Amino acid sequence: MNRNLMAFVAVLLAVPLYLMVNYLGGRHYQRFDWTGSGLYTLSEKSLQIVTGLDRDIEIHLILGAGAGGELFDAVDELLSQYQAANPEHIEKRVVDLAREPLEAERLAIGQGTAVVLESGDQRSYVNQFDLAEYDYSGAQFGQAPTLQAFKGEQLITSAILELAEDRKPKVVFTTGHGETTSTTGGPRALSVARAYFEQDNFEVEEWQSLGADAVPERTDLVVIAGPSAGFLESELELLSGYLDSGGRMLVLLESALSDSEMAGLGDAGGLSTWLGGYGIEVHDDFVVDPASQVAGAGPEEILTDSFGFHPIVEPLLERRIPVYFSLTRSMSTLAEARADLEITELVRTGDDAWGETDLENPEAYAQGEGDPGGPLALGIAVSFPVEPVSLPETAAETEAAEGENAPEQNAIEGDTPEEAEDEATEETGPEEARLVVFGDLDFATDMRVSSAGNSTLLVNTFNWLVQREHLIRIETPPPEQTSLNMTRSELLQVLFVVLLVMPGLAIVFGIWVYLRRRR
Amino acid sequence: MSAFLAVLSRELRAYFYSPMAYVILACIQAYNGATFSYIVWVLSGPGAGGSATPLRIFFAPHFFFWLFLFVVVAVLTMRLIAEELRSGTIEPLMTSPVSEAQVVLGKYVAAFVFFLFLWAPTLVFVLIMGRWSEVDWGPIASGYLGIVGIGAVFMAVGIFGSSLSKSQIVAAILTFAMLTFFFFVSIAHDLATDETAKEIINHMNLMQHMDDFGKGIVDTRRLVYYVSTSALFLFFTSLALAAKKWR
Repeated sequence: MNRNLMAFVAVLLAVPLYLMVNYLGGRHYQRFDWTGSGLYTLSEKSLQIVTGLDRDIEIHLILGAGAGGELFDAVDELLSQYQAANPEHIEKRVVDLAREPLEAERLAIGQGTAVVLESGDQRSYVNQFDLAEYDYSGAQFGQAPTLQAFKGEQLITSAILELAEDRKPKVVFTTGHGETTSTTGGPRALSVARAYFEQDNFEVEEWQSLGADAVPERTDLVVIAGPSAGFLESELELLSGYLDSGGRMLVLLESALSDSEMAGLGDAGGLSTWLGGYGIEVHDDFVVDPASQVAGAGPEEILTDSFGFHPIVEPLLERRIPVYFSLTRSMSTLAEARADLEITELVRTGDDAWGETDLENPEAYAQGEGDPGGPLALGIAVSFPVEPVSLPETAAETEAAEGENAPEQNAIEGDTPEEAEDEATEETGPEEARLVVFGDLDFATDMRVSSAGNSTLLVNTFNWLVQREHLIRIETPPPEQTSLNMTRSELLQVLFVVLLVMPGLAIVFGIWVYLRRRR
Repeated sequence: MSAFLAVLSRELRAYFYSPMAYVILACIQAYNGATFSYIVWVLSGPGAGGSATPLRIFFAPHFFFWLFLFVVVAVLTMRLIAEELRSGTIEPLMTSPVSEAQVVLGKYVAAFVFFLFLWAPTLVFVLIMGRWSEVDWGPIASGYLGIVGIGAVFMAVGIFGSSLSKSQIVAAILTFAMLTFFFFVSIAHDLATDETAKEIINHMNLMQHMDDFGKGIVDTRRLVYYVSTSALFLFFTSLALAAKKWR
């Protein structure tokens, strides 16, 4: 009896112990990605955003009308990673449209909605059609479409950021000088670049600088993209005033061949001299680099992985990802540049390159005496300190702040000194002006931005300029793709081995053991 | 320790000298070979280029995989204690200076080693894949880790089932029934609406676990679950054996 009682007590102790171990194991866990390419690992960018969250976000994965089949699993796994990265603040749940119509209605799920992110009364939506890119090129040969890119992480991180940040950084694209458009698509348009901005939660506007007396209020970044007409002196003064008070600018130039097409306007749309004031000498040339030319293209089409040491290009440098430039103007650092300027060459050509200045005979591809020799800078970043100024609050913001008892702080925690500095910056205005100039517009256009590491270079440039270094992008690995190139006879050999030889060997062993035992 | 080793060695000999073990090996080879052949056939076709690696598909759970595994585990473990109870050899074993825990552990480890031996020939599939495509070793290792973890739980359930009856057939049916519970848990996951219930069910959802392992994802929650569940069933088996001794 005593023993039975002891056994009963042992069971009574063992079961709660078992439950407790599993409860603790379920609360404090780690997920490891053993794939060689880190396929199921969130990028540094996403991890930094997610681990820094201090507000609760519920992520609803929609079953039934949203991502289906293969993509549903991929999104489900992705969301598990987000939850595992910050289980305190991120909760994943699956909403089955067929069984939870009320919940679906509450979330206002529309056609094609794959994921809804919810924080308090704010919501952000991810559409299933944006989740993946497929390659249909093999369709004519009867091949199934192959998954080219799974964009789930970009979209989910962007949506989290949208919920976490109280104010969207504002970017203005100058217009009025023949700049490349960002509003409509096309080979030479910047609509994809604009989409990157918007995915990273930027507010994008166009700005007619001609005749304006100030840069639009609360602008975080001004972009001049491939002007084909000159800037007026008054406009350049306006831009100088903006930059010198801690503004941020991105200038994308075109080669000197475009200057000659500008009916004598020249001088890179009037910007050459102006950029000289910030330590950058813009050459009137286009870069030729036979050693780095893209296969099947001319030597003015360059694939280079020569980078300087700078946060913008650090991920590209670490992973040896090249960037693709086309018809690029070269630049260099002015020897007599201001002492307070910190100038870094971001992208360079090889040693064998030169800047072709013979614009009359561009296809000669021969280095002349006056042509600057490599390595040549194709992109330059400049920063310099400015006096911090207090940002005036707009009337609307003051009113909004008064309406709320406790205005929310930026949800990204600022524990590190750098982040603390960022917070201080928000209150007092930037303490550093930043300018990035590329001698090429093409690398950012719809036609080229997806090539090589171009998108990474572009997005990292945005984020460094607006001081969101924590968002510097790391390339996500390509999706798993497998096919076996076997001939029919090889296939038959494999089938023979696995279907007949291997089970047959087991039977032979069994017979051998049986006979041995009988003896 | 020596008692444990003695039991282990006795049971291993019983497995490897039994023609039935090789029949099971041949069956599992035929089943795994058929699955692998299908994968190879699909991936070498003109429409190939899916978004999964071949061995992920191999380790991906489907109904027949589980059904086959349940039968194999029930057959492998039904003899372990039920046969000793039926033939009466349990009494001399229990009266010898060997504890219940040592007996249970010895038999369990032997059955588990044989279970792993059944999976060893599938390494040939990895070599075949390596010949015609690039092999990512991480997901393969995690796939096998999943098999080891789930095998550990199933063998523990099997030995517990074997300790509940003198009849091997009844033991096999009991084991099969208990293992089927794990399968139904994964179906219950799709039916549950309560978040806490879903979380608990997901913790026990071996189909989901195996899918993760096949992809190359190793989650410590799964490992904690396998180790603790195996330990719990082995503990129950020891108690069941001790209870028979007390009578």
